[in-house]
Amino acid sequence: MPLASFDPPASLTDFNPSLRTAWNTYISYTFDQNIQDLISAGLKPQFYNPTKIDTPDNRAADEITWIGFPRLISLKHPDDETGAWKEADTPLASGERPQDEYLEWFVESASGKVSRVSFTCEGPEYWEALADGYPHDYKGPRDPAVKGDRAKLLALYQQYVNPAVQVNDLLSGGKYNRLNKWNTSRGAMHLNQRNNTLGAEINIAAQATILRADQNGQLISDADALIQCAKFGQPGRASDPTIGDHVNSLARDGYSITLQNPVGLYIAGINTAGFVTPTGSDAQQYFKILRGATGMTVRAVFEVPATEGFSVGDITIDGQAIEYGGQIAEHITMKLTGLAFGKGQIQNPPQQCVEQVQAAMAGTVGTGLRYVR
Amino acid sequence: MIAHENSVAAGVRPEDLLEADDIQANSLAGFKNDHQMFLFAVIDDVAGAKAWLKRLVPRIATLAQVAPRNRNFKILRQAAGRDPAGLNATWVNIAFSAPGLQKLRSASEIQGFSTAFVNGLHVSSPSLGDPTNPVAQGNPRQWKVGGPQNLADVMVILAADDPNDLDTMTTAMTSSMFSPSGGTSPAFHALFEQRCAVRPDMPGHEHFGFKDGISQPVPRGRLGNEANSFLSPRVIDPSDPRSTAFGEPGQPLVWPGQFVLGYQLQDSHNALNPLPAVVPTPAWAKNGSYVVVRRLAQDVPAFWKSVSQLAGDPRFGGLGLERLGALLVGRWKSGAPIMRTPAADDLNLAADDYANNNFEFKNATTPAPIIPSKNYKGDHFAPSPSDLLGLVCPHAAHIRKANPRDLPTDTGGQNDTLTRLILRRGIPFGSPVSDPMAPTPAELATERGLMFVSYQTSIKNQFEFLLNHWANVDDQPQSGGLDPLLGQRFDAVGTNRRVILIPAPDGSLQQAEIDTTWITPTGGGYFFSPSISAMRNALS
Repeated sequence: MPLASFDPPASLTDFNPSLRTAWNTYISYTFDQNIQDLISAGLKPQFYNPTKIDTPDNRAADEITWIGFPRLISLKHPDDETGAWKEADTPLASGERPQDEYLEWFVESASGKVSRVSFTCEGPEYWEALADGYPHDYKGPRDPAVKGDRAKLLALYQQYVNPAVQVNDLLSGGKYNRLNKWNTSRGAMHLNQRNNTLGAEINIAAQATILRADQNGQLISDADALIQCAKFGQPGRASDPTIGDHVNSLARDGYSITLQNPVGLYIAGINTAGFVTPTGSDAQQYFKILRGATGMTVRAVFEVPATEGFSVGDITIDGQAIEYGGQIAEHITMKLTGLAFGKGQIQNPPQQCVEQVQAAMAGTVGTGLRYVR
Repeated sequence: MIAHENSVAAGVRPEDLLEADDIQANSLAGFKNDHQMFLFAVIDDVAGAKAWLKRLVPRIATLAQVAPRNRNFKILRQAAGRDPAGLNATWVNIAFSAPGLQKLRSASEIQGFSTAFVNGLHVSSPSLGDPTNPVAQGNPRQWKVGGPQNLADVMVILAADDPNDLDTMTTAMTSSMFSPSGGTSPAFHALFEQRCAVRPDMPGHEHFGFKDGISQPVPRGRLGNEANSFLSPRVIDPSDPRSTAFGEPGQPLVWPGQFVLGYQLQDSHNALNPLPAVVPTPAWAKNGSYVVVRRLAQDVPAFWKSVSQLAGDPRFGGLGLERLGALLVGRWKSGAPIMRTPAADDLNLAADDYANNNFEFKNATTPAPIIPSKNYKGDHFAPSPSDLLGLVCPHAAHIRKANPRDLPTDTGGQNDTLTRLILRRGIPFGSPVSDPMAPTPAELATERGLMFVSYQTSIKNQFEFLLNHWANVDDQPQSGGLDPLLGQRFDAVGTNRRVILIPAPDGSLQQAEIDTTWITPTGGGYFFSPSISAMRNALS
């Protein structure tokens, strides 16, 4: 039996039945659209919608993991950790956070020291759905009876960000605003970086099931080369190339591939080796899961209870006091889980790289590129 | 097509000319001798230490001396089928800790060295997973050397083929350091010494019984301008694209700046072409290397007891002791990789240096054609399959954690992995346990283990990274548990609990829980192995 329906990320229970149904419609539509787009381009994706196609019991699970600190920022500051931490912690003028590995954080301080860091990996689509019924980018058929649950939206913001939140703060033009002040300058309820979306995750997974060959006809298996060739995601990040690498490797092995339900991006855990507290206590205990479950966390906070007599800023990591949320993010592992079945059953020919196709279509000759037949 | 050993492959930059007379040998060549002594000492008299060093410099073994000798030894051993007689060498190398260098130079100048080195191994210890409880066995306060109460200024490594030669060298060296003749007061006092030897019963095997040191990165670079001058042989036929990236099959070529300061560096985005060399600070650090030493005590009976407990678990029924051990390590005791022979050990595969390391994890691998001059009979062993899912070799198997090869990793995958690799120059210490399932009281009363030694130019991004990003983390580079050998995660009551995913006979991945600590750090340090000219000028 195929999967009955897609559950909300981390199987969260915020949605009422109507919104749950709408969410399933949205995710299923997104899967189907991505598959269809690739087919329309003449390609043969090995990605499938598990609510339409059954996943046999002997499926394999592939846990795809990466570190939550933005790798592109690390690469910009090769021998300057502090510079990297500072840049990662500084939002853009719009309030968008430059934290693009599907993990974002918000730092609070008291008496000049970091007192709390909140981590989230919830996609903006979930919150748009909660507020307005469907995510804003959803282009499929809508049930007019589906309405947002603004009361729930407000209650969650008040619980997790600030009791002072008012509903109108969260809206723009009557609809939910991802970049509202309580998700930018005043907090982080969910992801707001433009590439940190569930839609992106599904898109990358689908695209990465297309085998690619370089101009010499060699199958591409290097993560960055694949992403440059197929033009999905963002090269140089920790997340996208890794996701692509895993999925493409399974595709080369002939598997049919999908994402495990509940579809989402998750905090797998935190590794606190090297964290030293003033009292010698185990720093692991200060990382509390607020939404989701162990191994499938979508919101967590790193905070020391007042009774301990010290704060987050008094903790050192590898000898350096915590001044930036990014120092902690470097120790957080993110994950998503792929499912695969039918090893060896599909043998699709590899495709040319996107630029080669474009060049051919534009009639560019004499570039020395040999095309794969 | 005629294959020249030093032909520059298309698209690869010219390789560095190594200043082989100036580089101490144990980094790029390595002491391959069966017997070594590690002497740890404190400098009491700076002027005396400098004078002693000046006298020692001409006797320090350089890359120029040791590299050709190692190569000849290997050729002769392959021809004779055993160690060649009469080729006895004795070598000396020396390295200094940050406090040691500071005594010889100045505190301000030493700040130019890396933070990890300046702080010392004992400061990094918590981030390496060592127990933080000061009374716990592996905590620096319990170390025989390198803890805050017994930091060494200097480490001298003596190496010899003949144990009697090592005795002679040791006597001479310790006299010169700690009780010189002629009325001069000693410039040093002894902290600790560790005698080490290749296992006489199983040469090349560490104390749990596994062949060690099979897989090393292979430094690029030339010893001279003439033909055939590559430091590391290139044996793959140029017709195969792997010839530009590997020395022997499975041994990746890595730019020498990763191991010796002042040479071109490996680019984490480009396997073949380097980043430019960086002039170190201070400038006299050029041709030097950082040396990591960890004296690791091994509890051999405990290891095999844990393995036999796993073997008794009904989920792993039928696998047996040897195979379960091989699943934890990633190789059978012989050294044959489980990726190429998952069901049983294969001594012929283990003995074949062009096959025993020719495998990857993500992609299936094919045998590599070898240049004709090697007269290689060919690699006819089963090629390794693709194993992204850890169904052949567990994700957490030691060799998979320590070198993920072509796997995606948290920091970028196979090109980035090449920047993490270290050159290992370790050697066992202590007498072997002849039957780990029935150790004698005498065997239980003595200590044994591995003197782990690695050379690299970034302690933090290479040595420490391998431990704190991969070995000690459940889900990097892939989700599957801690490295069962090296992984450390002590809980509040001092239990080092590792849970690793092992492929069971029914094809599923099952969690195996290990609570016993098999390997305990008992000493060590972060050292700097300076160039000959630095020791002749700046340091003496």
